[in-house]
Amino acid sequence: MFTWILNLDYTVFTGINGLTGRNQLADAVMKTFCNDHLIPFTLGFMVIILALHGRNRVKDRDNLSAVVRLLIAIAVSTVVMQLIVSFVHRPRPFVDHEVNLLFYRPTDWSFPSNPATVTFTFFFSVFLSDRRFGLWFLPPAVLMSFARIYCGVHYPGDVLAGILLAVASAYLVHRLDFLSRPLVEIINNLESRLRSALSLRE
Amino acid sequence: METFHEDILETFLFCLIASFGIIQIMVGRRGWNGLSIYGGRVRENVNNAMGAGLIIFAYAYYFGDPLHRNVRNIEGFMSLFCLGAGILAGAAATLLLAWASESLRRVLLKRRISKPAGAEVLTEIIVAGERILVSPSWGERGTNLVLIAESGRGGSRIPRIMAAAMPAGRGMICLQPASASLPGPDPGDSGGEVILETLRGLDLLEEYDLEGETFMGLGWGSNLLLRMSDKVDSDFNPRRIVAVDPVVPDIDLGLVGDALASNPPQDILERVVADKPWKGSEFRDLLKLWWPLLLLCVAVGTVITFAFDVRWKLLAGPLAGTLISLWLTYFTAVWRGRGLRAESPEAEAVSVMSATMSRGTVAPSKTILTPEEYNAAAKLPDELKGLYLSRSVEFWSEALRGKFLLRKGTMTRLVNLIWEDEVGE
Repeated sequence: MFTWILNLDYTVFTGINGLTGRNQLADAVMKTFCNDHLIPFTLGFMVIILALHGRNRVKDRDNLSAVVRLLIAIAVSTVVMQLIVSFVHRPRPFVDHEVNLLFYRPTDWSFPSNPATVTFTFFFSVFLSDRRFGLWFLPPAVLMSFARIYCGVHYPGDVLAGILLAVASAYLVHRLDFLSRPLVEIINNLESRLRSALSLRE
Repeated sequence: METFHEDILETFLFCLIASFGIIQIMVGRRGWNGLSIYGGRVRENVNNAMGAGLIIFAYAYYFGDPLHRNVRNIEGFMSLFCLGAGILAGAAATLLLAWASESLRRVLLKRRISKPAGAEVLTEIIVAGERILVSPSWGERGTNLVLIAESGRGGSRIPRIMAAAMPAGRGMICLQPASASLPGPDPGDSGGEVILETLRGLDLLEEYDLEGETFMGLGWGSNLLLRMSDKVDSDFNPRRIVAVDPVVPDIDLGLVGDALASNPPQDILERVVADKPWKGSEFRDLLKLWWPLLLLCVAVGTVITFAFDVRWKLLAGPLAGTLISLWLTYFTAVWRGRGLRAESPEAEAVSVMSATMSRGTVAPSKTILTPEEYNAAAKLPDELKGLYLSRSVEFWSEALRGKFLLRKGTMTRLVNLIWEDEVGE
């Protein structure tokens, strides 16, 4: 069963990675989205918009809570991912197979995919707090994860595991309210103090 | 190694510039005039253009370098650190620039006022232990002004400018209650009694007969005046009661407005510092509980990061320890029944304000509202709305609470308003 899954994983990988070299534009686009920094930083900047885009202070508080839950979900998924990495040592596709590599050769283990875990944690966590705004986080997450397979640095199974880990972390943090409550209350208290500090002066 | 450090700096700068650009766009979109970095009102189009330009520049600067395109450089944790630090620095830059531009505007405003600054016009006396600013002359009955301003150094600037702009032969006294801001949980402790006692003390002095004069409140001072309007009416029979931009709470949402709509960072900071939240017993209790847990958690976190050879030990361990200590402190405090209050000070204040507002049964002769307060006033329940809206209300759509004299002529308009019906008398 396990071998069958690994074979399926490799078959899907070769199907996606085999697309390289057919269209230079597609390769260039995928190389761009595969970048270590482009999408993670963009998602980070989108969190500023998430925090500030509300129409009133009540909505702002909800958004700040969403940001706190997102940060905790990222912390949880990263810790669990590191634990998995310390037990599961799966080499990168280019180590065991002939692949079309469009990226530098990462030296860490392949399973689960770090970018997929982080970007999908962004998506699921924000989506659980604000469905409409959360959808903006989906395309970058999908593009980056797909690009990592396309460029030959991850198997589809790595990405799938990352997505499952992201769902679990985001869902857990949202269900277990006590995990985020202290920080949410501290931040709400600060928000209240600062934004009620009205004065008529020059 | 040099490339590595340079790369950290470049990544940080990229995050700083892009975050600053995004914050500028959001400031424009939200209309947060208090965070305008070019002084005055915030203009959405200007902020959008500036923000978009900064974001495009940041991306072009960073990803234009081949070092940042699919080449191994700084690792994930450091990237995350640069992102967080960059966002914080972007926010700090916005606050500092807003602070600086507003300070500059106020310096220029001071120079623009033709008469000598009010410091030479108003002098300070102490009555019943309270600090009061008084003008050197006191006019005939009905021509003088009794002003209740906001507390603090910044609160005395408008009265000083007002004194300088007053017509000749009028007198003015200005009281600055110690805490004319959010009322405390005890409705009786609203500062009104202290002010009334001081006013009565002044009335006993021969040179200041307050009967029949105009009583005016500024900002939170207006709220105080409204709360004690019945007593002011019975004790001093004022010619008029004028409330300039009282704070109108949004009772449904439990909020008292949004300081960012017009107050620059220095005013917000001054107000928060004046309240001294760290001196409250609740805060001290939490601090006593927190610091031993902080030390313990940081030590344990650091030991664990060393034991498991986690990357960036001296950063990751203390950071994780700090967060866990906050979490532990919160739940320990809740378990001991000393947690954060269920209601924020603001929500508590709204309930006190709604209860005490109706105590002042005499509505002001004139209420001036800025756009920030006008919408909240319209949403007030009828019995409270009467206090603000039943009689003469002026809506000053161009005025801002935190930049009240931004529009030229506001002070003249205010001074004219005080004595506007004098011709007919």
